[in-house]
Amino acid sequence: MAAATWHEGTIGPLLEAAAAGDSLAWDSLVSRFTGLLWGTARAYRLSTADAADVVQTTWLRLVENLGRIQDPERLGGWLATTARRECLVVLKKSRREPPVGDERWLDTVPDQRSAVDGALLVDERDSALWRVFDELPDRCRRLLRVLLADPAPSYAEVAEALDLPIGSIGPTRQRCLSSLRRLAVESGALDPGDLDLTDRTVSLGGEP
Amino acid sequence: MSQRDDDFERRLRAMATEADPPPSLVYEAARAAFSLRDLDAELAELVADSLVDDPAVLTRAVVSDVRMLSFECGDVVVELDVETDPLSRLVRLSGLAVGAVGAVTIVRADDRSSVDLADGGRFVADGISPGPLRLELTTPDGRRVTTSWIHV
Repeated sequence: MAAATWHEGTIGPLLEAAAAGDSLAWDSLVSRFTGLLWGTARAYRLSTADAADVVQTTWLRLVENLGRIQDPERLGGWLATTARRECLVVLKKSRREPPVGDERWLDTVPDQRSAVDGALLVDERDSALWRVFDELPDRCRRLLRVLLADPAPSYAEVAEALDLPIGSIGPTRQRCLSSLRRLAVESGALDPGDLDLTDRTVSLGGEP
Repeated sequence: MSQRDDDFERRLRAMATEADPPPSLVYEAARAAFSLRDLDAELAELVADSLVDDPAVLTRAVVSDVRMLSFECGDVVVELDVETDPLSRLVRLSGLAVGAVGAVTIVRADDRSSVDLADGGRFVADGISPGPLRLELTTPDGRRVTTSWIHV
């Protein structure tokens, strides 16, 4: 697992310092976890505006709860849970508010799709791979989108963001990376040589 | 865990970071959130949210449904109804503040506005733009109470 730059035991002191009023400590927490929160909102296919609101609401919730977080080393999980709940509120709201015109519809429909089409990746093969990524089955796309946050989240944080058992993250990750490689080879975004025996074996076992 | 998966994940992470990073405004808003800390006010926590608590919401397609929220802090209770205009997407807040006097202040990340409490503690605010907000109230003995942040 990545996340090598943030060792266990670093979050507690930052949280404590922020609670005591240290804005630099706060900024460090923002740098550490905003990617995770953004990835979570995108995993649920929220539009840019909704994702931005969810991330901001999550940070505001932490501000009002500074000094009350039970287990500081699990702050990432607390933030991810808070963001997930806010994402579900947005999704329920958008189900309740039907479209009333094309323009509004465009405004309210999650625009992850256009984020994908419009994404300018310098490397053409990366662009092709990113499009394949977006077409993964939901379960895989969602898990990987959170996992690919920068800096890399822990499995515990990914589990909280998606409300999945932590023990399922590793095996699902492996299966989803394999699926992605196979789909990418089929669409020409990866070379057939990039597949190995495991990928082929998994493909015989059916879709996740 | 295979090295090959780790390498592939690293390549994908670099792609995701290039194609769909958090916008810089999102980082700025997150850093600025710290300045909205209010140590002098007591927190009225969100104790009920019809959108979260009502499983039927998922399967119902109701146009004019009102989202109902409740906040509590000791004797102070705030019942808040949130309605979004489907055309303008502007929000109407209406509610009841028990144990508060004077006015209710609607706090946004970059703005504050107040509406007076009517008899019995009722209040209405129209034309609110979507986004995070909280309400600030004063008790008869002068304590300040703020609700949890919500996203409308």
